[in-house]
Amino acid sequence: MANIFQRVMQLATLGAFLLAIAFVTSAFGSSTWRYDALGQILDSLKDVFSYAFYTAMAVSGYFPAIGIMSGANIGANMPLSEALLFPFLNMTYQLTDVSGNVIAYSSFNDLWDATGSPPIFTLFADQGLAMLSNFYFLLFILLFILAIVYILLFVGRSDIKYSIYTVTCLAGMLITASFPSLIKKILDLFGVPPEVSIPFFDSYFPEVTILNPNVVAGTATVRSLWAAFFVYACLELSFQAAYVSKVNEPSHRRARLLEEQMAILGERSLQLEVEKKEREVEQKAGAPAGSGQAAAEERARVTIRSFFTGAGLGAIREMVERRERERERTRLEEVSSDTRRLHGYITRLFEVDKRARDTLTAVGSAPSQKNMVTTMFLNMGFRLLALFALVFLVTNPQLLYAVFNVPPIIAESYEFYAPEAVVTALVPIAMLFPVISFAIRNYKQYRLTQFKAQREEQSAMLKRLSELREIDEAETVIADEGKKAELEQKPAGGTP
Amino acid sequence: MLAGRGKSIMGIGVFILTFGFVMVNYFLIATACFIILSSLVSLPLFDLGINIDALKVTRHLEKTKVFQDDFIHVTVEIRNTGSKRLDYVDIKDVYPAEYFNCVIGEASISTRIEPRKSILFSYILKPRIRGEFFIGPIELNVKDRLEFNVERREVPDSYTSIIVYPPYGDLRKLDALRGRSLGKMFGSHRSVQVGTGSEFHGIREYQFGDEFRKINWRATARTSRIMVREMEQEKNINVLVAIDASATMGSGSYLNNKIEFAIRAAVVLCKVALEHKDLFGGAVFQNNPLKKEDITRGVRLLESEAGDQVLFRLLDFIATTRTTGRKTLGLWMDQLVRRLKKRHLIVLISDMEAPIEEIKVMFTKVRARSHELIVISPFSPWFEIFGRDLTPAERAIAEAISEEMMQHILETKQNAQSMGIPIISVGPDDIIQRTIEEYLHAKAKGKALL
Repeated sequence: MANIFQRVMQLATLGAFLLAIAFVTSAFGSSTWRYDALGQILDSLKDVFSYAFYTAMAVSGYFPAIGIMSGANIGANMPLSEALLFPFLNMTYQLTDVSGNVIAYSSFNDLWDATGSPPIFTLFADQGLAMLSNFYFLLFILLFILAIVYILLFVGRSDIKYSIYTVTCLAGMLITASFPSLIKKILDLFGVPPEVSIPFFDSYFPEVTILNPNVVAGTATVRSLWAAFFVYACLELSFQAAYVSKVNEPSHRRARLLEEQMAILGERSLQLEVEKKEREVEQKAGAPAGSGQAAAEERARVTIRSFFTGAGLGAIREMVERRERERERTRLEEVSSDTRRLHGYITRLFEVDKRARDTLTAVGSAPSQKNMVTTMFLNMGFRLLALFALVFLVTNPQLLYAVFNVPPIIAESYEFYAPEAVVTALVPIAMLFPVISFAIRNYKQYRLTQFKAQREEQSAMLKRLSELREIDEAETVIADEGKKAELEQKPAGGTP
Repeated sequence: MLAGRGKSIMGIGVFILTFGFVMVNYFLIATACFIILSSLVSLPLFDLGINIDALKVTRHLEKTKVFQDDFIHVTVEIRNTGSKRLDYVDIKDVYPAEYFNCVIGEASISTRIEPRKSILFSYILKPRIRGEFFIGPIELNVKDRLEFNVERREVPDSYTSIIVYPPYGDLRKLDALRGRSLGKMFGSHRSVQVGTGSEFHGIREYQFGDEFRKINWRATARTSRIMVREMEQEKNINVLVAIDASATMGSGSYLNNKIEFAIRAAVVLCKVALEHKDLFGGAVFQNNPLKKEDITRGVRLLESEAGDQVLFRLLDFIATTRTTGRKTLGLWMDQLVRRLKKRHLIVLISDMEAPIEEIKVMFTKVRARSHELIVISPFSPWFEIFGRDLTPAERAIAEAISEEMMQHILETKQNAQSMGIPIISVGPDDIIQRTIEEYLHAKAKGKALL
């Protein structure tokens, strides 16, 4: 059950992120939201891979020595490769962006027919330059691939760093797209003449027109807010999925590991037992009665005279080697003994302590799924609602100005309609939470100190009371003894 | 408190916000605002809801005294005594990883604890070396679901002492040694003293003064001469193993140094001596380097006793021994023999890396009180290089040290011979076997009889 819930959460995250990726890529279209944006990008990706593949095949065809077969006219032109691969690749190579603008090249047949003029490598070079000339698009493709890879990694490993990377890649797509204009502005600021900078940018970093108002807007619109909210919701969903996985996983992992370890230990100790017995049998069969004596004789043969001869040295070397073998054998025996003992120990432990298996697998640590689902959706809903409201306030600071009666000369000034005006609301609101948290923390500390002081006072009082009681008892005992002594003395003194 | 993840998220938010401003892109600005505020918005609720003091964590060890080759099952219980649920708790039981291997399970867990519920997890440790160690502390990290905020705490008084004895495997191997390596030397070797015991020794001809009740009539009839029975005198001896725990005994790797082998040999010797019904005691020679003026208190003594409990007393006595301080053999032996009330067979395990004069003083002190001394001397470089692949340079150094030590030991042996004290140089492979052999040899010769 826990596993199913975990998987559902991961798949939901994957779906949401794929939608978010498609949403962001549609920012580069000329119309409103394009449901086929993702398909377009995937098509382009396929083209890029086709290009790489055909290039490799062409190179292998051009150099017969490293080709699949000899002859110049081989490679992708081979009927077999065509039959096998062409259904999956594009016959016509067209690298396009989502708006359908052709970025690079044409048909593969041109490549293959070009055995004479123009030379094939010139074609490849043109091809490469055409791609490089749109540097942004290459980066975009790279970020797109990274975003997909990271989200898949997140699903596999449930580590939220991958979902954060995905969001960063998505933001990076927009940032990269705006980079040429940004650099132009910076160069302009530093006084670089436009006649120098503009041709360079026009040829290698052409301006990317971001037109889709669904994603990008020059002013704070509800649509851009919703877009951001959607991307953030994906991130939040991934955090919750990671949480579910982290809380559920330990008991499953421990149980799985324990089972594996027990199986390995059982198998290994059995194997070692068999090996040990075989060795013993071999030793019994192989060692003649006088083997110890023979070894002693062999040692005795190594006299001082023979020490410097080849035979003597050989015998010593053999003795050293035998000692080494002995040590290695002892070490292996120790390892196998450890394995057997561990297996025996665990088997005994499970028999003696009935809870041992449960505690080793920490089966009780897996939380109730019903509680988990309920609290997760409540928590997520509450957070998203609160965040949406806060971000709406932050991105529309005029509302706050109205509440706090900011003078119109300030509130309606031109600067306060700039994007940076967001900071005037963001900083106070963001700072509010740590301040409240600090106050709560201090109050709790104060309560704790008070509680501790009260408890110390109480224990001191109890101690004092018990001391007083002891004193009382001691006094009573003394008084009793005094009375007893008096009584004993009275008859003695009173009797004449 | 904002955790590492919260800080990273905030950093990413600020990065995106900056680009949003630069590129006048409200999508980026809004995304950044979401990201920044998300790490902060739950901070007050986290601080309000969390009560880390409500978590009671206890550790239970299956046993606190174990042999080096044994296993320990450690169980940790976490109880949430508060009325609020803790969404995410990371509990880590810290154990000294250089001295223990976690063979089964894990010493940490991430979980969620409902109010008034408890969670148990356990793991199995295997000690790597002998000594006294502490398992702990238990570290608690209480986080919010998204790990943006965290509260860390170390559970107070969460240390558990554990004493690791030397490996029991040596004692198990004793049976094997009985049959193989020790050969004929091993076994119940009695003293040559003939007296009034119950064990038969032999028959000899009657001599004037023999008691009539000792006459063996059957032998007399067979030989036509008066023959008497001789019985073995059953005498126990006091055996005391003295271990030099000065700094030089600890050189080499921490698993294969001289002190480790010395202690293993002492334990096996104890077992053998007890099997021979001898009284067994122990002494540890060590000067505290922090109290230089206090070298007169360098001897810890476990009085010789008989009985099954002696082995465990000895284990407790030597298990926590660590090497430190300089060697003062003469002074130590003087202190030791002054405290011994009866004659003892002292088996000293020391590398003898001390000036000859001091060693002579030690021999004199022992002899002056009529004790018997056997010195088992772990030969230095053999232990330092044990189980290691040496480079040519290291081998050359080891050979040089070996030569120097050999000269020192030969000189010491010459001095010892004149006083009838055997010094046995041993290596890691034979230290245990030679110690027992020497003890049995001494016993067979009737040394240290009372």
